[in-house]
Amino acid sequence: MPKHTELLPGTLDLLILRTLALGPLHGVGVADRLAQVTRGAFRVGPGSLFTALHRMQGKGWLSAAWGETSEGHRAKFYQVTPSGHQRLGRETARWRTIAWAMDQALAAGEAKP
Amino acid sequence: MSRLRLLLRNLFRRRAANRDLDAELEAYAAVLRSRQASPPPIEQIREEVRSARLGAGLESWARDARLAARRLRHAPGLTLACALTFALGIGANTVVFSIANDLLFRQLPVDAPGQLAYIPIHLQGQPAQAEPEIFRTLREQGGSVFQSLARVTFQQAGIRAAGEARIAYVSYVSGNFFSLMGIKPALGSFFTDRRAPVIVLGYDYWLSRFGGNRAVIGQEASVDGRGVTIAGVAPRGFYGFSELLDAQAYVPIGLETAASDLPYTPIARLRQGVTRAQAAPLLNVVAQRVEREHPEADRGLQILILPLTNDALFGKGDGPDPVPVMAALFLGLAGAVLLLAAANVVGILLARASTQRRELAVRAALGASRSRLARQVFLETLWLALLGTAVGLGFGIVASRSISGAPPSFGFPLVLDFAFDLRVFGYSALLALVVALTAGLAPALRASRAQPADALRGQQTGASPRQRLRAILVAGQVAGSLALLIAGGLFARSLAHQSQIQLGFAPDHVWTFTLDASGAGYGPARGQQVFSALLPRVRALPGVEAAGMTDAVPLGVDHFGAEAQAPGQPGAAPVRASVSHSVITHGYFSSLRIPLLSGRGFSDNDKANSPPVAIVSVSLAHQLWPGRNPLGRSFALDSAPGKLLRVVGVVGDVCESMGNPRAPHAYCPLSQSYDTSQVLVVRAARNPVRAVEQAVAALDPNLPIGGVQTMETSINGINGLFLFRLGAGLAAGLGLLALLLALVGVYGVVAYAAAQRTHEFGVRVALGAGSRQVAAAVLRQALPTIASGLALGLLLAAGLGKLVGAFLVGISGLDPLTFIAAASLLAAAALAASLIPALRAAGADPLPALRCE
Repeated sequence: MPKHTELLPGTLDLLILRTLALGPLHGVGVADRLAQVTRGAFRVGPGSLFTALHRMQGKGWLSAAWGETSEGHRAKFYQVTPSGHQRLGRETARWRTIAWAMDQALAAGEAKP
Repeated sequence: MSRLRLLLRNLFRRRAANRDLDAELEAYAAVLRSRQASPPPIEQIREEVRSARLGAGLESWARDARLAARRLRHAPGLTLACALTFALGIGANTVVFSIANDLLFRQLPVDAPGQLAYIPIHLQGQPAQAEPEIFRTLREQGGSVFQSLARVTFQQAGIRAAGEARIAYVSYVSGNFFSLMGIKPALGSFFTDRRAPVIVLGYDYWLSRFGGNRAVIGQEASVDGRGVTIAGVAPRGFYGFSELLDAQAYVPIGLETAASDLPYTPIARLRQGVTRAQAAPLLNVVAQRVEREHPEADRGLQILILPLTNDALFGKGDGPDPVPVMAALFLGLAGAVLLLAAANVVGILLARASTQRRELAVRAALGASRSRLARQVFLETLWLALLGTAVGLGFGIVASRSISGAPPSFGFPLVLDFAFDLRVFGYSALLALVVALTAGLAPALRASRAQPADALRGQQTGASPRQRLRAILVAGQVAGSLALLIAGGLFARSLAHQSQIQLGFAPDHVWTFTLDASGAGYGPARGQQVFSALLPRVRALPGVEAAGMTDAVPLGVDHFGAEAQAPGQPGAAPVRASVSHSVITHGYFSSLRIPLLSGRGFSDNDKANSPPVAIVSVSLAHQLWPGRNPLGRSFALDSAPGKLLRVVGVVGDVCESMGNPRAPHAYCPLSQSYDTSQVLVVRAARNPVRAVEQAVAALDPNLPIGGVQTMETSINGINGLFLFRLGAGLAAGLGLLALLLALVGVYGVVAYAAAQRTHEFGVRVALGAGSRQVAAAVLRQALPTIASGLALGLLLAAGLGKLVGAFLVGISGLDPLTFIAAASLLAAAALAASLIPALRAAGADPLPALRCE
């Protein structure tokens, strides 16, 4: 199992948008899904998570509504807004560029030890 | 938009937003509980989310500010002490700054004052008159940089209106003066038709002389005997080309009686976008051109350009301009007072911070961040500073209002308006912030170091290293206070010395009246006639003991200098002496009780056509004819070369000006040496003002009268004691303030140190120590601090004394009496301040200490 890694700045927003793009989720759901998709590499504390959710709601990328979980608990569900979808698209492209560039750079370094 | 909405929501619907967050977190906890996971730290999450939320920063500042205010409300004594300390410091600074602001920075209340310029003319490096020729050339060739160019001057004149002739100070100005200034009349119009003889009244003069009556517009009046119409009133707050002199009326050039020899000041308005630096090269070219055309008369001509400020207009006397130097000096002194005040507050707050250590530690243990704790302590200081500034501004406004307004003794309308403008308020706000930052820093840093573990420990005992910081603070305070006290003492002693200077005349029961014959349009012959007809009438008034005239009263505004030259011993070169020179009548010496030492006074027999005579002062006699009898000898003045004056009398020396109390003096009779403006000096048993004014009006209703005041008022004027009194008052006030602050500071720190050792003292008393020993222990701790402060203060004061020495008269800047007196006073005060806590400690009750053990 990979070690827990600190999130790079800005990546949390992207991960949350990606997670929620598949459908509305509540706070615990987002945390679970994040841990699941990154195979436990990134674990987000509840403080950072709720702070990020509220901030992104403030920026208009997410909207929130009260609903019921599958287990029958009342919870606040977050959903990506159209502007959030736009943001997700831009950030994804940006992140892929960075990742590709980093990959290339690191590979070049390996070729000539 | 949504960001703004959220901000608003967070600010105004904070409670609803918080409830929503609480519900969400509650639900979150419920989900986790259902999974049997460990319960989440809800409180911490909530704090985290809240403080991260948009606007939350603002909110937490506001909350901390409220908290700080509440904490201060719970400690009213401390709040009062700190705020008052700040108030004294800031009030003093504000007053001093408002004076400096008035004298140095005030700008004319006109359109774009920055575009106004003063164009002084220099010949071979010396200030010179702007000849009409130069002015004309400037006007013709300066069109590319000057929007307009005008000439102005400030002159005494007689204005007769509404049946009364009065002396006024008027500005003769070019017709375009008002359009150059860019102002509108408060009433009526300015100079519309250049040929019509009209005048414009100054606003304050219109109020004081005409009671603000609007009917004066269009009324007939006369200026120096020439008929004019009052066309309008200048706007309120506008005093003419200088902010310092109040032009009581504006008269177009061309109406003046002695047109050619008035000293005109050229002023200009630069074209929009043109700076003085850009205009200067053109002025050089014009100057060179004029010099080529008149190589003799205009050799070394320079045309300068300066901002139109008081400093530029009046600051070009001999030597450095004293106003900025004095302003810097007093701002420095006031700044030192503020520093002391801040040190006091720091001392008090630090002392309090130690007692609060437990509270802060508890809060740190409960999760308050360091920056949060520091911020709260800092906000307390900021509140104190703001409170102090508000009260200090109140003090300042009262104080500066009481010293505003020209003293009547000045003889001419000087505008001293130490009113608080935005600049003064801005300065105070800046001071408050700086003071809060400096005074708040140490306590705030201290609070941020609060250790949660301390909360668990009990009361800390023993001296902390912080004790040393406070001791240094107190020593510095004592030193600064001593230096300020000595500076104040020096100025006060200097003033006392001034007042003790032998005046050489008796100012009591003397009234002065200025009369100006040319103000009625009279030439010398008519003037002589009026003056000589007036004197017997005044002497005949009931209660009048003596009356005479002079053109310059001692310590008055006007002084006339000349060089006297007497033939030396046979074969030797002539002897020269610089003298003060005045024109007097019979009765002048007896009015002022100036003793006639030998020979005779002037009499009616000294007529215009009889041989010229003079009376000299003792010191002039000694200079011209050392060791010989001056009576019957002759000398000449360079103001009337070739006219040999025969000495008929010798009088005692008279103090003419504070700078030169024993100046040699030559007196000539009015009948032989006419001067148009005369001061009637009347010695009377009771107030003769009305009677004299009536006598003048009855003799000649056209003769303008002014400067009616007692001689005692007169000697407190600008050339008399005024500046010394102002300086001494300020310095003494600051010194006393410093003393007060030092007292509070020493008391606070010693009391705190004693309080910290209460436990120790209790134990000591329980073990059999007497109250005397306990008191001695407290004093022993305080004495070295006070002593080192005094020593440092003496050193500081010695440096300061050297600096202010130039402004002192009669004593040196290192005057031992002042140094010793101030040091003993401060030492006694500091001892007294430490004695109170010492005595209190001596009465320590051993029981609580034992209970605690």
